[in-house]
Amino acid sequence: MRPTTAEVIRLFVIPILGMMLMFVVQPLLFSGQWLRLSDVKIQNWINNHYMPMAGMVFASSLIAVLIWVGWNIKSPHRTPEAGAQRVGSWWLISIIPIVGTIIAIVLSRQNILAPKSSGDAILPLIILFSIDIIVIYWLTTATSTPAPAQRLPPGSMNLFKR
Amino acid sequence: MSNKLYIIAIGGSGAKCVESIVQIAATGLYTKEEIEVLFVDPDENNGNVDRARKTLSTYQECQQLVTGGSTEQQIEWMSTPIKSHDLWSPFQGKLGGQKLTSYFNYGTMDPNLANLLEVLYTPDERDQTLDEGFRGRPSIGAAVMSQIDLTRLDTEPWGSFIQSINNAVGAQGKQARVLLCGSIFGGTGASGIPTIARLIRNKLQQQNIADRVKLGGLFLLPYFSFTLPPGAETNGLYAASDQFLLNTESALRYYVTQASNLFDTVYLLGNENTSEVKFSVGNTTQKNRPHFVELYAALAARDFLIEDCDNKLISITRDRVGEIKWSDLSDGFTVEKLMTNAARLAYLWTSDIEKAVRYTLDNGFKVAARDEAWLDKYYDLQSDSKDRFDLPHQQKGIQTLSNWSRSYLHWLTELHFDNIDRLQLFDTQIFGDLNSGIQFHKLSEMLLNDTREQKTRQDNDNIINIKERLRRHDVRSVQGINRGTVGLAKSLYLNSQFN
Repeated sequence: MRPTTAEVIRLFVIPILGMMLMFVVQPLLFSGQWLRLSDVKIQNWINNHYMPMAGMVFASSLIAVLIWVGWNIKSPHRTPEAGAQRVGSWWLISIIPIVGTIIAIVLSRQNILAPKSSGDAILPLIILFSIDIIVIYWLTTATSTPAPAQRLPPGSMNLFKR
Repeated sequence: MSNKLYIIAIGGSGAKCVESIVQIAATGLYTKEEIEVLFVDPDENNGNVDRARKTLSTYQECQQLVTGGSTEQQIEWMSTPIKSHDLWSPFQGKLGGQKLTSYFNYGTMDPNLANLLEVLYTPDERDQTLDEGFRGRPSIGAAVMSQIDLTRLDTEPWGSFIQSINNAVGAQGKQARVLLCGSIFGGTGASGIPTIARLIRNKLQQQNIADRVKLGGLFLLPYFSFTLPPGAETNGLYAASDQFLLNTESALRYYVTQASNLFDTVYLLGNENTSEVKFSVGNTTQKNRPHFVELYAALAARDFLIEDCDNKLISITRDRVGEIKWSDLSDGFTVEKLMTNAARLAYLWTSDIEKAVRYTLDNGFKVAARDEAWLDKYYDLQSDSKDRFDLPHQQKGIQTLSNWSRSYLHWLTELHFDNIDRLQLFDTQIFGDLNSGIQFHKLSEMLLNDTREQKTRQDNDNIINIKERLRRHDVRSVQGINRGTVGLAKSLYLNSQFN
């Protein structure tokens, strides 16, 4: 089924909000010293490590959203049994941004992205990227998946009484 | 002034007309005024009568559920209440195994009359038990039916039937339209229609209400035939197809010469290409599948109800020999719309809603509501709500709607069975075996000669779209019960309409 106008709007707006969170707000947390990194020069690290990592996490989350929404627009499930199977598929697709995050952090730590990565940043990055994945993948799919799968993403049933 | 329809179904063919009338009533093709039905048949176990009574019972249960007894029904579907006066037999109150001789007290009869009886009836006819009807012999039926005297119209069920007509034309200020239907080529209908019509006419005149009551006759001319089973005597005492035309000719001559003023309106319906049915002498085995002529009969009853009964001759023909399309039916556009709307509802209920209900029962409401997003729009989880899904009355309602859906789809399927004159209304293949083989998601293929654009079909016939419309439907706009099983059915009807 084609998504409604509201679903299409949410499909664009929420990833844009996620993008602003990742590329504007979160770097400020580091540069403003709310999250302290003592082992690197902050601005260099943000430019050379954080931004490529955030790009990878954002892209993988967006790919996951597009796979899920596109699949449900293209071939909606016809039976409740098939719907139950799709819940499993939603979790399976969620591996994409998680793997994207892991790869990004590993590439950074191995100094493949750029020299001088930060050990202090690992824990904050895991927390922040997890929040980003929740916002971009979960919130977008939970609010923008068209019928009949609109209630399949976990927790979506209670969101706006969908 | 509104009109109220009374149907007297005489014999097996009359009962089959009632079956069609009931199915058509479900679609909303009649008015919201109650229809009253009385079956007349000496064969109380007649399969056709039994089938019509069951259809009527299924309809009544569903109609009562949907409307809750209110006549303020917003949607056409199930808007016509039908009251049954059940069955009356001329042998009612008499011992079983009645023969012509016992019925006329042949043993103690005046010798001259006994001689007359012997002249008019063969020994086989005199000694045949009549529990299985008049065996296609109008002469036997006429003898029995003519014994009905006027005073018997005061006994039940005639008493309440006549009283209802009185009430309708009296206190309620309506015009009553009494339609007698049956075949004029068999035994019961041919003999019963003129006799009962005359009794009713006399009774109405006696009560000074004849001017407010229109009497109609729906005469079925031959439209089916059968082959005698191997070994059957050709002169045996049972209906024989080769007598049908002769019987019809005699009956029509009778109406022209001796009963021309009996009816205000007469409908003659038949088909020159007779459909082959299974031979039966009567009783439970006399159960023929529905025929398109009976669909015409139901539409004739509609015409009788809503049109003026002036003396005009109306004929209905079809475009092409060998097939019947929507345009061949009286008021075909409206009939197509309403029959299709009801068929879409019945199909969706049977193919999809029932499946969702089973899934909900098996997996619990919360799990099911994740996939069937419309569920919590119509049902609640709170323990104190009357719209809880698992409450017995909600489950019984689901069953009642399933019963009606199957009954309607089954009737449509059987209407299309005729191979000589093909009914080109629905592709009933998609209904398949209604218990297990119904084909899912074929809504767009249901209507034959569908002229809608492809895109319209894709949008309007997609079950996902329909379910989503169900979920978003503002149930407050639905009059009467708008939640629970009934609310769901009404919303499904409104959101799956043919357009």
